[in-house]
Amino acid sequence: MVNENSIVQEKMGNSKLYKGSLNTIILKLLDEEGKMYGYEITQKVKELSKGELNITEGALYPALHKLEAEGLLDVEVARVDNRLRKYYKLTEKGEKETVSRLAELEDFIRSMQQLVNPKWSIQ
Amino acid sequence: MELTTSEIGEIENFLTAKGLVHIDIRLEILDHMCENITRAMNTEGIDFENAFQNEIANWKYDLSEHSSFWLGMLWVSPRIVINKCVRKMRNIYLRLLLLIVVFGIVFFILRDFMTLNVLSLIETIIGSIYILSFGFLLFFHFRIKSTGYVTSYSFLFKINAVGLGFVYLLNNPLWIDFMEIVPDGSLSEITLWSHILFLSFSYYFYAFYREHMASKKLTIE
Repeated sequence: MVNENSIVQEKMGNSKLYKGSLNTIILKLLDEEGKMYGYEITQKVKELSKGELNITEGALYPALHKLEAEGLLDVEVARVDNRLRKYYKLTEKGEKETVSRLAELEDFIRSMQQLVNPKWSIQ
Repeated sequence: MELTTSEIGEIENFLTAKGLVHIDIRLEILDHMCENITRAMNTEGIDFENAFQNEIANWKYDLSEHSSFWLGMLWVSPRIVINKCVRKMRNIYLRLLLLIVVFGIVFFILRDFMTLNVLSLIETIIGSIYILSFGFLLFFHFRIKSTGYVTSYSFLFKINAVGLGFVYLLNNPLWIDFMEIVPDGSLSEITLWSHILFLSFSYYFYAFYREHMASKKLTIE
């Protein structure tokens, strides 16, 4: 029961602020790392955010499948440790989309900073 | 420390018991569970059985039995599969709705050209497309069956083919008077639009079939 509650709290805590940026986070990571698999993405995000951001499996895989369906990601399958592993990498369209979504996210962060703390700026 | 083949087999049996047989989703969940279990065994020093039980608890929500109004409440599968299918179907319904609107506008613009002869010709074309669509539906069904694996796309194909297969067979205006678009000398727009809606869906049967066949790369040995 304790375990179940902690999972739900973790999901709710993350979902409110990060949900809208999940796809951009995935695209940015793939842009930097080349190719990655699902579990690796969750661990990388946890590491980069020092444990603050925990992408749940229930959110990650639908997001990856959506990006794949939109033609932004390409898939490669390889046999690793007695099982198959699905790697994702950016397509050409995905690379362009990453640049555009990152610019959009940076604009959003800049606007939020001006709203929350008008005296401070990232520039 | 890596998981042994029998430990991976145990996880696979668990996924099968949960009904997660759709390879486009199962492959990743299996890998994710294996990675998490391996990490727990290596960093927390717990044995496979305990790590596996913790992982089962992690996936309890996403692998619980679920159904949705969008797919029909009778179709039950793990939540993660149903959610993926619902997202797909919502998108398809929205596109079909837009198509109907566009078709309505085009038909309104061309209404002066819609003489009885033209409408009869359209009716014959619709009837012929129904026959073709039913033929393709059977072809896709047997091709999907022959692959020997299940995907979320074959699941979507199946749940829609059950109903629309009968529609393609029984709604044909060539042999069902009730479905004629000019039943008594004047156009029945509702019947015409229902034909357009049903026939447009045949494209998605092809899309499901194509996606299912493309998932073969997930079965490489």
